Formats: sequence, C-alpha cells, structure tokens
Amino acid sequence: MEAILQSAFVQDIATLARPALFNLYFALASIPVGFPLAVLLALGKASRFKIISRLSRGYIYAFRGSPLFIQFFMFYSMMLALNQAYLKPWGIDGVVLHPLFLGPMVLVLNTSAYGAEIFYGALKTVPKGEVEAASAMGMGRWSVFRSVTWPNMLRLAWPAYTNEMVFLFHATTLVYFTLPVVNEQKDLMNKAGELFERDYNVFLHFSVAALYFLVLSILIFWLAGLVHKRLNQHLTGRAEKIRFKPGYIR
Amino acid sequence: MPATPILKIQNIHKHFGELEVLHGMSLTAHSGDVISLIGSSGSGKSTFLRCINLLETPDQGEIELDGQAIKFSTNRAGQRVYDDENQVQVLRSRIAMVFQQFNLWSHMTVIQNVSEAPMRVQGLSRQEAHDNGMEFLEKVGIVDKADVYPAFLSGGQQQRAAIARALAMRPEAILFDEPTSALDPELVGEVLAVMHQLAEEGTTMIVVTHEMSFARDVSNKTLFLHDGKIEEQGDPKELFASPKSRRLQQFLSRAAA
Repeated sequence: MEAILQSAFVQDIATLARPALFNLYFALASIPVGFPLAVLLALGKASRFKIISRLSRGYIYAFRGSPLFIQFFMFYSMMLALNQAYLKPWGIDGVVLHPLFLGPMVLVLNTSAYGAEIFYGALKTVPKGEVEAASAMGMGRWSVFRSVTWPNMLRLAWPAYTNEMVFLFHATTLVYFTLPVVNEQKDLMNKAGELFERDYNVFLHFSVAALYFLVLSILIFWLAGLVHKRLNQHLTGRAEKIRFKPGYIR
Repeated sequence: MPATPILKIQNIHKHFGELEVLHGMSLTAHSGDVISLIGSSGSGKSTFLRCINLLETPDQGEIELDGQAIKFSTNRAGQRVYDDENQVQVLRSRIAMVFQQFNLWSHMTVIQNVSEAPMRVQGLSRQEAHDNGMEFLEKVGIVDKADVYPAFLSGGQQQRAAIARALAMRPEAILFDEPTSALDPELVGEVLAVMHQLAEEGTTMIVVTHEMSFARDVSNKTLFLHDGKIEEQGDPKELFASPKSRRLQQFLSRAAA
C-alpha cells in the first residue's frame, strides 16, 4: 500500500490535480459565453440583412481559418500594444493582461466561430414544414423562433456541439504556451513539462496529464449525453419531466 | 343584401421564375361555405391555397378578409411584398391551415401542439390554452393521446391533431391542403369523417383535395383548376353529374378509373 502511494504514478496524479483545475477553469469560463455568441453568429450568418450576414461570415472565416495558437499570440501582443495607451490609464491592465482573463477571451472568440458554423448548419436543416406551420398560425418571427426553430436547431446541433466543447477543453492546453504563467498558476501541460524537466520521464508525466483529459472529457460526454437524451425524448418516448433524483447522485 | 364574405380573393397571379403557376384566380367564401378545389397535380391548387394566407405572396391580385384588403407594395428588387406584417399575422390567425404533411411540432406533445399558438398569438394563459386545446382534441377524438409526441401517432391521428391545432385558434375559416394525400388508404376515412363533421357544424372550409367523393358530397361549391385558371366551377352535384368542359370530363373519368 505504502509502495503504491509512493509510486511516481500516484505522485503525479496528486501533483497534477491542481493544474487540472486550470484547464477546467478555462473551459468552464469559455463555454457559457461562447455558446450564446455562437448562436447569435449563426443567426447573423443566416440574416436577411446583407451587412449582418457578411460581417458574421467574415468573423467565422477569420477565426476558423487561422490557428488558435496564433490567435493567442496576436491577441496577447495586441493587448500589450494597447497597454501603455489605454489599459494602464484605465486601470484595467491587471485584469486584461492576466491569462485567467485573456485565455478564456481568446477561447471564446475561437469557439464561437466554430460553434456558429455548427448552429448555422443546424438552422438550415430545421424542418421547413414545422416553421411554416408556426407562421401559418399567425405567430410572429420571435415566437416562431422560440417555439419551433430554436428547439429543433439545438437538438440538431447538439452532437456536433458536444464535440466542439471537448475540442475546446483540449485546446485549453495552448493557453500557457503563449501567455505568461502568473505565480504558480500552471495548467496540466505546464506542470507536466516542469516534471519532465526534472527526470526526463516524458512518458509518465504526459500520460498522467492525458489521463486527466480523458477522465474530464468523459465527464463532458456524459453531461452532454444527458442533455442529448432530453432533447430527443420526443423521438424515443412519452413526455418525462426531468426530475431531481437524488438516488442517481452518490 | 348578402353579408360581407369572409374571404374575397381576386385575380391572383403567381409565377416561380419562368413558370407561371396561377393566372387570375378568384374565389369568394362566405360563412359556412365548404369550397373544394380539384384538379390534376400542377394545376396550381396548393399554390393558390398558400397565396390565401400569404405563405406565398401573389404577384398580382387582391386578398380581402372581412372586407379588409391586405396591403402590398413592391420592394427594391421589384418583387411584390406585403406591407404590414401585423396585418398578415392577424389574417393567418383567423384563417387557419392544415397541411398535407401535418407539420406538427415534433418536439411538443399533442396538447402542447394545440395550446402553443393560442398562447403565443392570442395571449391565452397556459391553463386556458390547455382547456381550450382539450376541447378540440375531444372533438377530433384523440383526447387520450394528449400527452403523446407526434412521432408515436399514426398518420390519421397526426392529421386529426393538426386539425385540432387549427381549430384551437377558433378561426373564421380553415384551409386544407390535400389533408389526406399523405395517408395510408385505411387512415383516410377517419380524417374525412372529422372534416365531414366540421362541415356539418358550419365551419368555413377551403379544401384542396383528390377525394372526389368528399368534394361531391360535402362541399357546396367546387372549383376545377387547370393550368392556374378556374376551368369550371359551380355546385358540386351538377359539376360532377354533368361536367361542361372537356378537361373536367377527362379529369373525372380518369379520377373514377
């Protein structure tokens, strides 16, 4: 028992627990903002107004067409350039230049573009007849969207969006490749790299880091799966209200 | 002095690209009328029906609801568009529609399907809309399916739910776009029975149909369309017994075969 606890593997698991929280933070801070932005951009791309449509398309193209890695560099250097003139005088340099802010910001900008493309595709495949039926009942645009378009769109987009969330989570490894580490705020990649430099055991340290990603990814898949089930209940069975069932939570 | 008709449609023209689908269709519906539109595929029946509630905007022609004309203008691209979205929404809420493919909202149960528009459009409370909806589900005989999703209903049940959804708006008239064409033959009867009952209760209906017996026995006026024009119209009993135009004679003999 003692030997197991002393083993390098278990030691690594313990050491990397706190860094894992940083990756989790980057994902959790980005998804709730990136999701609504993605939906708005998708609607923007589908807009009747040419200007809105063009701007949305341009944004999506720019962020999907360039590497996230470079986006981090660009925004970081952009913020540094703005620092003396704006950020400092306004007293917001401490926040804006901090990786815990700038990291999620760039991730949001990036994931909203990818998400937008997913939601746009879903929007285009919403059953036309259902939308038409809503208009034919005299519903206004907003009612049609809320009652019919949105629930269909979300259901159709969900599997692909689940992937995007997991990709985003994995992309959090790039944050500290470009942004400076503040104090001991290191993420999995950082910390694993640091351990590697001590004993050159590349296999062990990065495997444990990967293990954290695997486990947390399963968590995302599982949660997204629950939502998926809920979104598809009308195709699989009678209406069931989601109830809080403490029995499932141990 | 006859009362103001519910719907007065005059001289509707519609083209899709090069294809001229309707040239000069007119129709007047008074309260209690059951008007059947018959004709071969491609004669413009469905397009005409869709022009009535502006799912398609006619290129020419007038639409009056209770004596009030829908306002149109021409946009910069030279297309005719309706002017007042609210006016069109009011028209649609008063002239309900039943589709060939039912078009029920698949993510809502039957009762939710029937309650949604009265809540959103007419501002009924959830409870009011629910009670109102149940009344009409009872009427079409699927009250036991209220909490079932459309995917678990037969075609006939789905179409009856769609009829209840239209009725729940308490409309002044209902447009039926080939309501039985997507159904298996053995399910046609139950939908026609509901429509028959509605006709007897005095519901104003405009029905595009391939069911000749329905047109003959239930409607009080039949329009035979050919090539986007009314080829012949009149009392269905006379029309079916002694068609005047050659085209209608051909159509009926083919329909009977």
